Amino acid sequence: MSEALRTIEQVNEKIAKGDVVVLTAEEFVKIAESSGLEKAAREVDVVTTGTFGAMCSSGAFLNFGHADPPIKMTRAWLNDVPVYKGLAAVDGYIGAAAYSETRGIEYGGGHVIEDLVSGKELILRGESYGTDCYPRKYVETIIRIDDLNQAVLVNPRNAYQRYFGATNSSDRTLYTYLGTLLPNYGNVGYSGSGELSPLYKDKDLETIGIGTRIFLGGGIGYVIGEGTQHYPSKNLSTIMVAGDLKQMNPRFLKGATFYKYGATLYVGLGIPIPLINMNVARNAATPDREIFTEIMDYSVPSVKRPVVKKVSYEELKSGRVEINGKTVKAASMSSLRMAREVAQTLKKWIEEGLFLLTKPVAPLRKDSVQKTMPLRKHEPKVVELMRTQIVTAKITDSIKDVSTKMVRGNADHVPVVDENNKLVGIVTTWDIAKAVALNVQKLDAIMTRNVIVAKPHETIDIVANRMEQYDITGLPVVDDEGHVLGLITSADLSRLFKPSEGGVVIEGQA
Amino acid sequence: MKARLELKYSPAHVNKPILSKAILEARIPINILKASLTASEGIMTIEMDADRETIARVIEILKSNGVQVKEIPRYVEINTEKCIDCGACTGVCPTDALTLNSDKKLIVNEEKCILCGNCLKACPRGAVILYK
Repeated sequence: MSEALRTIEQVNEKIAKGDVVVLTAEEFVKIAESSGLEKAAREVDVVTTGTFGAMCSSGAFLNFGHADPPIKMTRAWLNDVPVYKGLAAVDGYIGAAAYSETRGIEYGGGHVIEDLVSGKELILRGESYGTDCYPRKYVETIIRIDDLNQAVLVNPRNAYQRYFGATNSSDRTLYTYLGTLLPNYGNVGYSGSGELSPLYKDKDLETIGIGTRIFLGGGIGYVIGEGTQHYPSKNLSTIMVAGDLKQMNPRFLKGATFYKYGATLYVGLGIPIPLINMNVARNAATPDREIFTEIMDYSVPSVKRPVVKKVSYEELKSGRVEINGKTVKAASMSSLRMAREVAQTLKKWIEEGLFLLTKPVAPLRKDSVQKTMPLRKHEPKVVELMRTQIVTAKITDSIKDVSTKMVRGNADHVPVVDENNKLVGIVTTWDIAKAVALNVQKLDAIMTRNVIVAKPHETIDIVANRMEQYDITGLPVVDDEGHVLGLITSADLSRLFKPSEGGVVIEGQA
Repeated sequence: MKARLELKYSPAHVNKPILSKAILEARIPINILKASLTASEGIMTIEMDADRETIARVIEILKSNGVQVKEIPRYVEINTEKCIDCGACTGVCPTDALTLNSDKKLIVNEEKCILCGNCLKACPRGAVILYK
């Protein structure tokens, strides 16, 4: 046990007397560096933290009150955004990532929550099959937050201790929840407030636990448990939080849409950390340069994305990151300015005696791990559908040679290989037609060198997506060294959807 | 003064060296910021730094050669009511027209904007207004 400094009761007594010493985490980092951790830890009672990021795992429980005659709503919408209705008659949950059935992802649950907190009028629609006790089958009305019996923000996963950075090694622009990722490692997207991050500043979870009172959405909230995907040993702790939406402030709850990704909610969240012992103080003094995260390659369609670089929040916040010898821009998706405002506001509340600190009712688990989904149903792989008897060409072949091969082998796509059967290019019947039209003789001049390929153990839906993205109909299948193993075409994929011809049906996609 | 113009060429004019003509006649350098050509029209954004008279002369030359000319009074604006200063736009802005200052507040430098439009897609709050 680390040297005790003060109890939460003592901190609350100082708050009541008005002589509590509160600093934001950024201020505390500076003081600890200038006057030493020991001195800073003795002088400062509380460190306030803050984060303001897009948190998709957010939403609100709403009770609409009963209509007369009443309805047991089995489906409901707010401004055309579906509300989860697997609950009692007029209870519902609006999730931040739900999206409008008329406007698409441009307007989602996050926007609904922002509009509710702003006091705006929303259109509520509800449907039912009708019962003896709830005879009504349809309802449509206009509601405001004041009309609701309860509106409670309940966010299953907020305040990620840190988040990964993202970059993109591919040759096309990606649109992700970490923003627009330009081709060829063109930039980096990241999220998180680093040295202001609530869960980084108490990374051993000594003061934050179930029941901890927090700043949530500009109002008061509470930690109600570990967040989903809570993974403390990897510095990826999360918390589940709740608070009365009616006392929150739209300045700290903002609906948002990530292009081609979806709707979400920016949540302002801050936690006060009482410096109860030296270990807590040491953690709270951790500067950006000692808080690391990994930049991953988001062009790899796997949860096991390759790490491109380990990087500190100091480097990320500078706005420039070096990747493979090139300096590129790093942009945050979360707002550092708003995170600072959260920490400052919480500091002010405590100084003014408006906010008392709490002792956790129970600790958060430290041994939780994040598991991946077991895939126990057979998923067809490229290796099962690819053709291995294929036509290939050598770079020295003439256009005439290749066209003869194509006709004989009934092939539309011809991989071009070197003497070791390694892929160097591809030609299609269309390329050959073009060569004839332009009177080109050499294969070299018309083949595509930057070939989009498939790997044997990739799943079919990933490969089908890739064909769609690049608007192509066939991919050479290569091993990790680039040796050509076969070819997979859209015609091969379409066999999957014809069970009468002996293929496999993918459920839900047919 | 700096001026930006959006030029629309009809297919009949796409093959003519109209811009070169304007440069030669008005005797000023013109910078092409953006150009796109489709089967039905050509659209170009140009910029020049000259006095009012010369700019008027360029516009006149272009118009008399059948090019539709639209002056671009502003380039980019941020709706500060909507903006949360995340800075997502700064990572895709090729000219640093959008940057965060030391207080991590978004700063717009319109002079640098080339109207590429990257920021429109990057902004999660729909806070960017581009005057194209």
